[in-house]
Amino acid sequence: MKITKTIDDIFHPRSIAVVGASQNPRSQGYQYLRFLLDYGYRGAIYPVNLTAMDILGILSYPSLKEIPGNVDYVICCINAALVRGLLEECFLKKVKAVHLFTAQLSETGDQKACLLEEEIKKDAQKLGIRLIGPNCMGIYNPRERIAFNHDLCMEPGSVGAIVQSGGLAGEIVRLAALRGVRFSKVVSYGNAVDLNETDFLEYFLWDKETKVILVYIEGTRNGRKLFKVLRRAAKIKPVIILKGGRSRAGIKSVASHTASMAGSIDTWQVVFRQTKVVQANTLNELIDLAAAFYFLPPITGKRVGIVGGGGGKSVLASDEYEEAGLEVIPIPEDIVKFLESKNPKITGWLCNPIDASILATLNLKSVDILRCMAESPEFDLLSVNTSEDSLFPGDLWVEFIEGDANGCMMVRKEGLKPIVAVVGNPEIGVSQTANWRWQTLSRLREQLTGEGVPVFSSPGRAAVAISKLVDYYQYWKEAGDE
Amino acid sequence: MTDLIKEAKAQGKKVLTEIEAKDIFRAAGIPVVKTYLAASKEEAQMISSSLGFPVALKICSTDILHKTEAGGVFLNLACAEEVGRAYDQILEMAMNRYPLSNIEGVTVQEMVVGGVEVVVGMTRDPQFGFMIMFGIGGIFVEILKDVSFRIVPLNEEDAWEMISEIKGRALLEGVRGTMPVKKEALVEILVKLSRFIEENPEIIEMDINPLFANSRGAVAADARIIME
Repeated sequence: MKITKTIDDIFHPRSIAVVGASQNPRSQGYQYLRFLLDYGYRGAIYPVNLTAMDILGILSYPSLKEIPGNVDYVICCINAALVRGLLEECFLKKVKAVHLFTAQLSETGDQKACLLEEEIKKDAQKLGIRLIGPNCMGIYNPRERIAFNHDLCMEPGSVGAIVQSGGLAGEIVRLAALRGVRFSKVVSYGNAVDLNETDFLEYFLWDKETKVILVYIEGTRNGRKLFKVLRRAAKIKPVIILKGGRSRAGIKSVASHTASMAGSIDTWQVVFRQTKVVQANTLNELIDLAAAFYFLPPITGKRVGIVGGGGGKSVLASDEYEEAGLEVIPIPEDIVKFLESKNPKITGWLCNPIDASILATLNLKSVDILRCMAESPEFDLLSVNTSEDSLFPGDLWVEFIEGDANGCMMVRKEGLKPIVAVVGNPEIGVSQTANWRWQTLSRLREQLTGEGVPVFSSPGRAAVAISKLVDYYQYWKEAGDE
Repeated sequence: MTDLIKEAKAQGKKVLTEIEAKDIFRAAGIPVVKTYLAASKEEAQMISSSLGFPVALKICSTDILHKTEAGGVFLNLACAEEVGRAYDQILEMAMNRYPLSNIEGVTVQEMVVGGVEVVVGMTRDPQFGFMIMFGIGGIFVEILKDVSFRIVPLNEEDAWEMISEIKGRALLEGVRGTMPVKKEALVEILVKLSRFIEENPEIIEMDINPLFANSRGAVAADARIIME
């Protein structure tokens, strides 16, 4: 069977058995059952437990073979030593795929555990059963109401994620959701004895529900294959990768200059550069890039117009945008003339970034300025940097900052120009959560996100994400033109 | 697999001599300087005269990997007398410092005049397989580490990017009135090398250092090949 079909079946099981389901809320077997029930998975659910009659109100079975119906997919939460026996049962029950949440295998580095993992792999191959894991969280598919963590967003979207880690998989979904990003499907794949990052990449490249692919990877068992797929991938869909564990090539220099040079570089960096995947350097950046690629169109120019922020903050913002490779171009003459004709007092004041503090005392609104800039062909995109601080009291300040946000949403709604927003996200404690200032920022962030505007918590983070997005689409456009 | 490599493999060779390496690169379509093995001082002088001065003399031994450091390289020899003296010095050095080494002889090579010294090489990454390196060569290569890598197979775009990625790329644009380097020639060499590596996976490391690049093309002045 084609790998895409195999994985598509895994993401759409008609029945799931949780082996190692238990009545103890501190066990993962209990929690996996809870996920299926809480989210409202519509297929058949079968808890398997040697002694329990029922778990969470569902009839439980002592083993797979007692289950009356078919089982498409097994979530395995039992001890590693019992997995080989389970695989035999799975074969008899005609189960096609097993997710091994089970850990304590090769990731421990223990020799016995590595051998056992190898045996599990061989058994599965012989029996024709596909494995996800071990040592991972498995799958999240909001359309099927299958998830691997509590309180995850169940609204589906178009971002697919391939996450080698377990804990990080849930966190990526949660953090990205706060930024408005919605997922098509996510897999946490762990030690990858069978299905691996390359297989899932093939799947997400093929999957019509997926437009952008996020990857968190720590290592690979087949670098050549991964390289080949990545090379093809970037021409089809954006692939954003965060590599965990910086590594040196580990080449033992034999005799050549080349080998001794290679010993000092991280080959993964070479792979990312060559394959044109978008590289995220931190978890924050991965989420920023997810938001940028989710909401922004394929922008191929770097001329940015910035509105907002007071004097010093504008200077800093400008520095950060330029440093990231964006061009903070002067405000085009016709815009300057037009705005000066509306209010002669601003003559000589208009430059990019447009300092919002000068607008406060004039009868010019940021929404008007934004419209002007959005209609100008000189800018490739706009950035609205909200003024998080000012000398004005709450009511006036809220009015100003809402003006900025409204302008931003207007540009987005009317589709005049790609636009992003910067809304600070200070690290407040619980005593500050009721403060009007922070509440206003939180409210605006949610409003903007809800309208499909990517929101970043600092100009620097916005700039890096935008710049990488433009680099990617420039490449993508050229590749498409060939 | 080319015949030259088949032969080396059949003989169980790990390190090829400079002459063998150059023959292989020439067969792969990469320009190399004329290089001949001399078994005696007289032969060295004869070859020099027919090549035309200046010439370079280098020790030829698979046991001595760092020829320059060993004192086994003499450049810019302008006449037969200088060649003779260099020949004696190389042999004396070898006898004193490497008494047990297998010395094949001394190579006589044409000297490349002008151009930028670059380095091209290949090694094998344990995860991603063969990688090609490009960088600024010369005496600072190991200190500046101004090199770029790409995974095999390379296409032309990869090769162009490798060249533009190094910090010293301005050196290729012509310095102090010299003509810019013909980068197309470098791109061609990198791509040819990639193809060659794919066809000959028993080679695990190689260096072309230096590769002289100028406005007309590029030519390998020294080469090293290491087999599995």
